[in-house]
Amino acid sequence: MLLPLCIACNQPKIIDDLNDASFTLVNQEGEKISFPEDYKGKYVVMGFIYTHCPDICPLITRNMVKIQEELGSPEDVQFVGVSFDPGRDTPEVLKKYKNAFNLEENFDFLTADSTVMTAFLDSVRVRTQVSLSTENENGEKIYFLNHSDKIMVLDPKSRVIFEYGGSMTKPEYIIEDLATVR
Amino acid sequence: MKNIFILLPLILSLLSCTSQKKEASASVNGSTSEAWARPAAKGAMSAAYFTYTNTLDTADTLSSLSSNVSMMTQLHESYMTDDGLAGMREMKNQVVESNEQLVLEPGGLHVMLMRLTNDLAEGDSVTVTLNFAQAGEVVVTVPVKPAN
Ligand SMILES: [Cu+2]
Repeated sequence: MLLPLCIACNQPKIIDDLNDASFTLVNQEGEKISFPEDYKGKYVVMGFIYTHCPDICPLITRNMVKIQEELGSPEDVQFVGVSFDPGRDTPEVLKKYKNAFNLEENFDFLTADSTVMTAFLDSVRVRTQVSLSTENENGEKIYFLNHSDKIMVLDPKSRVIFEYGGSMTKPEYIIEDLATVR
Repeated sequence: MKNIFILLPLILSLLSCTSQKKEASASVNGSTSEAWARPAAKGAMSAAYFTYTNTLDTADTLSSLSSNVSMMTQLHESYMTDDGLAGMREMKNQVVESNEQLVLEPGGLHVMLMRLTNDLAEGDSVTVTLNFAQAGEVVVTVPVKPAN
């Protein structure tokens, strides 16, 4: 389990530097997002989810929602849910998912072309593997994924400075860590 | 035998709803865990949570499940794989010992509602039918509540 790597120091350890990365992702509105370019200058709280997961992943999303609420939806903190199941999580699907959480500004759900998403996930060390797969009466295959359970925080220079277990970390911990740098 | 299993948070709403069947031994447990299901879109997945108490003198087995809103319904458990990934697995033939509870809550056991046949939004309700080897058919109705 990944614990907050830095709780009370002013200069957090840089876990990954994504400043030079360049990925073209798509948000729930079908708008192109250049990552990290479009989020530069903001803190980014990023969690990894897929919409076929109705139990653990909503806990990850809910944690991000709570952080945004507690902070009072500040302009300088962007919230992002990245789908590691881009084949099924199209922008339309992500839009419905976002609606179920009643979210507004500064909260994006991102998907991408599968190849791009695989490269992006590699760069942030998010792993997935196909697990359970079942067939319904129509012979339609339903599969599920085992996946990293992660929320991470990027600073305005697109450097990953904090990482957490996504579903089980108390939002307050993440808020406290953010307060040490923001 | 048909048991109607009524959950604590539902009692109030049932008072104003006379169409509900109330025969059989309504087993209401005092657990604080609320009964609810997640909002989700048609075709997507949802999960339902509640606590069931086996009030019989013998152990019971949950043989199958169905619901009025999903094409497939299973009992699932969220767990951590050996190499630290979050996963879900089906819990077939889950045993509930006599006078013990089957606790369904986020991050643990859940009724997995797969391929929803309609949108689930706040204010809707979901009826899950549990088929137990001993207790027979147990019907649980839970309200849809916001995901956060
Ligand atoms: Cu499940």
